Amino acid sequence: MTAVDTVAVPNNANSARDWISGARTLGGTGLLLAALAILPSFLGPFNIVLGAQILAYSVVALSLQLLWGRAGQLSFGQAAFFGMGAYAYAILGTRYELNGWYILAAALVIPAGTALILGYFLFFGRVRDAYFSIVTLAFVLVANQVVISWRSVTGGDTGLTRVPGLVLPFGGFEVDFTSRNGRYYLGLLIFSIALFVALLVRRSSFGLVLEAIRDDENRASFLGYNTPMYLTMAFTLSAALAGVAGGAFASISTLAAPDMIDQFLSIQILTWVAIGGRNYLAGALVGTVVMRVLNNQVSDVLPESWPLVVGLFFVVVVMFFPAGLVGGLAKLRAQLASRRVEKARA
Amino acid sequence: MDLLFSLLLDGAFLISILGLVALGLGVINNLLGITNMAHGEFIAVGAYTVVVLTDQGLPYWVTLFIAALVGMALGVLLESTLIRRLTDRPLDAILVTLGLGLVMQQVLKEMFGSTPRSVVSPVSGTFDVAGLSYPLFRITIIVAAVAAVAATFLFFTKSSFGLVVQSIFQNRESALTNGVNAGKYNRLAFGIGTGLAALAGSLLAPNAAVLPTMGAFYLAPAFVAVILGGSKRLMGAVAGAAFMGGLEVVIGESFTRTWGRAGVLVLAIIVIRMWPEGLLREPKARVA
Amino acid sequence: MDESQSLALESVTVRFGGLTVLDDLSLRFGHSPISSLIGPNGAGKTTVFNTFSGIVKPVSGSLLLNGKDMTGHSPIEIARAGVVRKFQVPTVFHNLSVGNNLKVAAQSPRIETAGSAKDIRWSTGDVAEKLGLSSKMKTLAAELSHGERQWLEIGMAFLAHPRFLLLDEPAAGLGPEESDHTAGLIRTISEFCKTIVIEHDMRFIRELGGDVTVLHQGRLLKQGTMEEIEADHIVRDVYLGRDADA
Ligand SMILES: Nc1ncnc2c1ncn2[C@@H]1O[C@H](COP(=O)(O)OP(=O)(O)OP(=O)(O)O)[C@@H](O)[C@H]1O
Ligand SMILES: [Mg+2]
Repeated sequence: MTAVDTVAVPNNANSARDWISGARTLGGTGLLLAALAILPSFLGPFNIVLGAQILAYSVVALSLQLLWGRAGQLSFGQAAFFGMGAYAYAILGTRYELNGWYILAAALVIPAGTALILGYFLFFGRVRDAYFSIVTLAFVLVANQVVISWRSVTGGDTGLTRVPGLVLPFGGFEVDFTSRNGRYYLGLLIFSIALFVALLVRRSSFGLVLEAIRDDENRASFLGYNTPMYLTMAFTLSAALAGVAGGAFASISTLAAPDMIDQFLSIQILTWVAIGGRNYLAGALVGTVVMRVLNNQVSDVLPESWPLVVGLFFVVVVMFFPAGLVGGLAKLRAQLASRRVEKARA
Repeated sequence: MDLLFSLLLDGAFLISILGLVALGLGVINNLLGITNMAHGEFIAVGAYTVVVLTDQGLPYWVTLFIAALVGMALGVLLESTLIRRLTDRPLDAILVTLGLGLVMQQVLKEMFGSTPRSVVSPVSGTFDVAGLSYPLFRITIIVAAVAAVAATFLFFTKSSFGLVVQSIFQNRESALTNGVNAGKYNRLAFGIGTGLAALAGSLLAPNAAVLPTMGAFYLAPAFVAVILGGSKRLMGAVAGAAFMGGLEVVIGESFTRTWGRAGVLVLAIIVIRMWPEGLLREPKARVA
Repeated sequence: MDESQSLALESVTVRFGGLTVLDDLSLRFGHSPISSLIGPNGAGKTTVFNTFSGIVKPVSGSLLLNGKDMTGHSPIEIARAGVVRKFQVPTVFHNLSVGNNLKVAAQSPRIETAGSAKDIRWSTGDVAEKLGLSSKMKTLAAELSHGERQWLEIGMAFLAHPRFLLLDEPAAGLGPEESDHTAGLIRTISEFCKTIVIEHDMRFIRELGGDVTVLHQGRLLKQGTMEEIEADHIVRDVYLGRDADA
């Protein structure tokens, strides 16, 4: 552990270091968002919509990373919340002339409320780990069945089409997200908010307690933490993010379809996070971008084989690169750094 | 009376299939400590084996055994190439089976397409009692499934292999420190589990549309059945399956099939919430 | 006696299956800042702690904290009331840094009761310094040595604002120097909260001072000062005798 010794700094320097690392994160995030904001001028019309969809998908990936990477509970049913958000948006948007804020709120509150109830029953009932994962899988299967059979409301197999884009009134004026660029900026808006929330959780004591629970839940509860409540809160927050992502996705794609609320999408979300690196915020983003862009390429060449590619990719990553792309890079960097330190010593 | 009769037989049919599936899942779950997320795909593998072999003219009852063996061989293969490498990372092992399920499903789709295939019932005619009739074939299937469960039970209680497995169930650590070769038992247990799933698929084949995704809906109820049954007794999973299957038929009859499935899972979640200690495996209380 | 600072079992019986581990046991701690709980292996010492912290539910009898009946309360409630413990097997959050381990402990929720205003809010930095871990604030707990992990866990328990701190074998597996450091830590801590220590090492207990409780086969054998305990021939027979030569 020579590397650690040399890197360690006296106690009073900690706050300065924290401050610097905080500023660096903020700067990096700002740069990323700025780059994303000017990106549409370099993209063709098709790619703008693709970009908007990837932004919305990144938000679901962030939501799963929060639950899995931070709190250690893996949901196999994240698409259920995404789909609930999408259908809530599409149903309200096509049927009623509602204020955009209300529709967006429904896309957040319905999935979050469902997760709150589900989480209460599961986490307070000591359902954890694999058990939790499989119950969430069952949940997405049921949600999918309900959407397919409740034809009068959900449109059954075909889903709902010609869903109007989101229009948000701000006092006197309105922001219209229906144009092609507007759809992209809707994606960017919710992406920025989600990223902000995720960063906040990472820095907060709430996030720290979640990590402690992931490490050793018993220990955390003997310190007096109400661990089932923390897990329920994490699940609810995660579902809220996934729901907003789904709502935005429905607005961007102008439709809601059963494949937005199925097992395959759930597994794909899982794949994005695992491939990027489950323990890293950046991992969720990198994984989503890589896999969505790849999906786009593969669909052109081998339209039917995408699930096969996802499955094989996933198996290989879990078996051989459990830390994912970002995790692998971080490890590499640490190794290089320690080698440099050793060299400097010699 | 009419309704009750057909309800009973429908229930018995569902329970016998679900029982086999859950038994297989339970064997894997309790012995390897992982959940086989590709279990549903093994059901499909069994069903397609029957489709292919009966097309070749083999009698249905022969193809059953071959289907079970195919499922078993495939399971042993997967365990010894992939799962075995993940013994110290059980959650990742589950993820790998999830990915494998996706791969298997897709391979079946490429091989057989996504239009449903069917198998002609080997037994025709109906079973008539007091003016009621029920397809005779379904009844023979129920009998076959019960026989398979009984055979599995006998195997695990009478054979020396089964007795070792039972001792591992009871106390994994002490059995393993007593020199049990865990690798061998894991491999076989995984094979038996997937073989049972394939057998269930082959029994289901003449009664269902054979599709790569046909097993998807069995995994969750079977898993809940395993939880309900507890990890100490092998047959607990079958009892759990009886509970889940019975409930599904009753709720499904009163409402619709979809609500039947949804209702069962909701009820199962509530049951787990109310009796967590009695139903889950030993709570991991720390004894410092 | 003053009930406002006491942790007690009254006629507690604990059984595991057919095995009676605590047998109609009545015990009281709190009159001395440091108390030690000793007894041969399997005497039920850890079980006493488990009963105090609500992990083990007695078949009969009651658990009293400051005179208030806490029988049947959950571990979380008991921890919040200020009974904090360090486990026999060191348990820290392995994938969190030392600093974050201390932070999680320091922020743990407590019920504010009368008198808690007197509690001194320690900063994690101060505690790390006392533990001798201030240069390792960024190190993952998994990378610490066994002794450092023991100290970290003691520090965490202390930061969780205990009224009663229960330490199960804090010196197990430590070398003589590490053991002395640990005894010093515990003495410092006992200025701020009542501390109960389970230990086998008699030298360590002598160093701690305070009163001593001897448990044997789930029953109270004797409670008193170290001198009284060492003078007692029954205690010598069942326990000290075997250890004395070692
Ligand atoms: N959860 C449990 N289930 C069954 N038996 C238990 C349990 N916890 C403790 N025991 C038994 O109770 C007895 C007392 O155990 P305890 O851990 O309290 O002893 P101890 O005095 O702490 O011993 P040591 O000095 O070895 O730590 C032992 O015989 C032990 O096997
Ligand atoms: Mg002990």
